[in-house]
Amino acid sequence: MMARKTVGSGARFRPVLDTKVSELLKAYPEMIEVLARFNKHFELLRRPVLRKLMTPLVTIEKAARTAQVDPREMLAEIYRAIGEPVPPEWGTSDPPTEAPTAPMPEDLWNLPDDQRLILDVREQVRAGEEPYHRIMQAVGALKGTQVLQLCNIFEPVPLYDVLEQRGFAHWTERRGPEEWWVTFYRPARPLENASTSSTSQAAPAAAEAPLVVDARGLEPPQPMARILEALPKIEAGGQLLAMTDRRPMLLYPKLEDRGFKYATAETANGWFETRIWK
Amino acid sequence: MPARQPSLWVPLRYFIVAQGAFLTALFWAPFHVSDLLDFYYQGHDLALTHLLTLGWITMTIMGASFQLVPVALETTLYSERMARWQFWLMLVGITAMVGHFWIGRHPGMAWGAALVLLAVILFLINMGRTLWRLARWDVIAMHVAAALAYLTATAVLGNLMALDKIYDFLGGQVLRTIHAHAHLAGIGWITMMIFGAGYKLIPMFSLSELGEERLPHWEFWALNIGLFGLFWSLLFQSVWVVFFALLVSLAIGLFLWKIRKVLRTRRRPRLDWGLRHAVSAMIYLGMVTILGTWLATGWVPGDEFGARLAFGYGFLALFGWVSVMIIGMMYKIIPFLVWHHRYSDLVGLRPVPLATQFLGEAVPRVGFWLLHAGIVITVGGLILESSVGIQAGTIGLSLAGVSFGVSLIRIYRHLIPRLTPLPEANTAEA
Repeated sequence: MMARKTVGSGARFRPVLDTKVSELLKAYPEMIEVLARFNKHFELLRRPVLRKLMTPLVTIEKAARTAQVDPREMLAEIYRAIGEPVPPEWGTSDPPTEAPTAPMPEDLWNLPDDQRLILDVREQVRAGEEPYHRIMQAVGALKGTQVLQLCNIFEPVPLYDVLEQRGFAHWTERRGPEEWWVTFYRPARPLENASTSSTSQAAPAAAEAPLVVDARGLEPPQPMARILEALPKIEAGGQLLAMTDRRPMLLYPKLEDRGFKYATAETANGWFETRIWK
Repeated sequence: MPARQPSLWVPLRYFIVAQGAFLTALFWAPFHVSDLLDFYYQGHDLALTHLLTLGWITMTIMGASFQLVPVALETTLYSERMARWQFWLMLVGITAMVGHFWIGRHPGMAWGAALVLLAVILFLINMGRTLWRLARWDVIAMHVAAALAYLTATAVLGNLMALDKIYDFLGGQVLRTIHAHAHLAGIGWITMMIFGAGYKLIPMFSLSELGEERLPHWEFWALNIGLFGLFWSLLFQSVWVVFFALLVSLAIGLFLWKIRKVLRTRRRPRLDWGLRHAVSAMIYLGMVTILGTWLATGWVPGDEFGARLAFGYGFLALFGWVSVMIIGMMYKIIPFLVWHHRYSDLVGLRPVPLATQFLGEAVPRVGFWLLHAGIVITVGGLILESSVGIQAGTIGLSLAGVSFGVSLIRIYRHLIPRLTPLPEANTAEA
């Protein structure tokens, strides 16, 4: 459920997907910086003439599509920049293919470097060449449990189906306006996965999706507050996945005091994911 | 094993004493304009300087280190007991030093300096053992380690200078030694520590990222080599002083450039009062650097004016750069510390206020402008030898001190549940 109209509660102007970029910039001129981080073309909006010309026509949703980002992600980023709480329903509702910031799958945690084959096709794609052949060669060269990390200037959606037929799952991260990292890996079978953690028996991970708290982009101590507030929502046998910008050192004693167990992993692009369970 | 934050009182007692020392200095100044018109090498000014550098600045950095180093470097403080002993040694040592500087009794001053050195050694051991456990040394840990080394060197040199007053064995010109001692403290200990902490805290508070660490590494080495050279060329009055001053300026420029990049990529456009203080402090840092490089060239019209300029330079460094930066960081760190102590165990169980709500808007805003007016007018008065300027400026600074004190009380009162009751009673009845 998402509001389609501008929510104007009190004095504060709260943009929604249909809000025109011009309205947004009128209320928060500094949002140009936020938009420019998504796509360098938005830098043009710094020029008043272009801003007048372009922004009355464009909604935040359209702007996000132009920048090839999830509109809700852009809106969430704008909310963080304004300092408003991000409505929780924008955080996690999408399947991993559409949400570029989906949490790292458990299979990829603690993956040693020699298990990664990295293929950067950005230069090739920019030069107008077709990288398909090179990618499939790389996939063919994968041994055992090795994974392929592909870097491209856009999200290579057609490739997902092709490689799925070959038994590969994928995990996508957008690290920059023209930097998409997709990790193709063979998902672990329950019998192969004889790790020590008791949670590994919950093999179909998608079926039992954990409660996710995205506490990134918040100033301390807010991440801790968000996570602690969510603890009572963990159902029996369930777990909570907390995403933070830093290793939540001060959270651990609080979790222990409240009788929770936890494990933290650093993701490839810098944030931390802490799983919390009873 | 989880790293535990040391208990509240370990850092808090340092902060409270430091803030007391700062306010004392601010309220002292308007009544001693004649001392500030005098040459800076005299007992009262040295007492004031050490009240600020040790009482305010060093105590704050020590307290903040106990709070932040374990968290920032993901480890645990080696010994809380040592931190408590160190506190009392510092307190007695600084009181003795400042008091005896004031009345001009050298043996008592030397005795106080020895206690401070002892406290510094405890701090060195405690932090050293904490850093020793680090698996991975990043550029922040390098800054902290270097700052600790320079703090120790400053304290050792200070003790030698104190003993020299009694036994007269160092020889040479005392002013050179003072300049070397001051720069070792100001650049090696204080600025080095603020740079290291800044790389961690400014991205954290502005919701940005430090990014690649190449510039900070260059800054680190330029600052170290520059300071090393600056120290010896000040001590022996070498012509190389200009070269090393420029090297230090380069390092400072790299730091400011890096922080500029960090702030430009921040996710929250609005700067809060803590960060506004920090940013304005960095503008002063640029001014201090230019002034210092000018002094290093020696191209000043007349020795008398050079001495006034040096006084203004020292004042601008201590107040404009360091104190404004510390006030800004305190506006971020203390609400966090207080919130963590009072409310973190209640989160999720009952509604609690946000740490960012403690400070408010109006009081820090008024304090911010009073502080800047006070600093600029006082520095002008010091350089131009204007008693009216110094009087007006120091009054502005005292008023800024009142506002800082009020802000602190508003934060600290959350430690006392009686003064800040939670709305829990209502929810219980409902």
